[in-house]
Amino acid sequence: MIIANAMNACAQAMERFKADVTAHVGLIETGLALGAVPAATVAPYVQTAVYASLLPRLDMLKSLGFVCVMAGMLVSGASPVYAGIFQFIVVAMILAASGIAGLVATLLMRARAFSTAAQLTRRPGISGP
Amino acid sequence: MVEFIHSLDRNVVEGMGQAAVAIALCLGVVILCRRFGVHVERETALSLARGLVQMVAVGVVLALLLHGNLLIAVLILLGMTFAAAVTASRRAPEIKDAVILSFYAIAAGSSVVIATLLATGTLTSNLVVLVPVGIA
Repeated sequence: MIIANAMNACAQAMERFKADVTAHVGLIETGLALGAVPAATVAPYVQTAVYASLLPRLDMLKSLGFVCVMAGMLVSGASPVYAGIFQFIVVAMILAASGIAGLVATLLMRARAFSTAAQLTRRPGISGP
Repeated sequence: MVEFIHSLDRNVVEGMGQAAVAIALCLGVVILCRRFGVHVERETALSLARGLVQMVAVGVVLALLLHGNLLIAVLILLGMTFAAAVTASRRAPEIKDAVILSFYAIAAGSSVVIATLLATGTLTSNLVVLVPVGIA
């Protein structure tokens, strides 16, 4: 469950970062031409990509308890309060794993979006190194 | 305070300790995200607080209700179906009566399956079994 959600967060962050960079090639290259470091030119897209990957998990936390409960634990006779707390722990772990996965994926994508000479290599039609 | 903690079920006290560790880990991730300009502190803190309070509340309510009869089970399942319908209807805010439509759909799907499981004996009509399976 944790690996599956980390996988989804990774995919969402990568897709969002790729789409944002591809859609703002002109802005990024303008920044590079004016002397900005590559990380600064794509900083807003890093933020939106990580936030987009975290959003479903944050919503999952907010809606806990209204629909889902740890059925297996209750059927096996565990305390309902402990089953509820355990469900919260599982979802909090999913949030943490997804946050780390989304952040690491986005930062690695950022590193690969530019060449060693600080040129943008990710643009429409070109996949880059 | 110490007397209060001693009066609680041991599992619940352990669970709260484990939840504190989970929250600390999430806050660590939030601090890491903040370092890279991703600001989710307020929303994460709010989501964690809401999630924990809601789950403890549901656990307490279930602990009280799980000794009831079949009518209580049906009422709980109807309540959960309505909550699910409200969540599903948010995907289609432009549709008139989206909540009712979603309620009918979720109730139709869930009731057919639960009735089949009861008829085949896979589930018993015991509230302790029916409610957790129905709402999970």
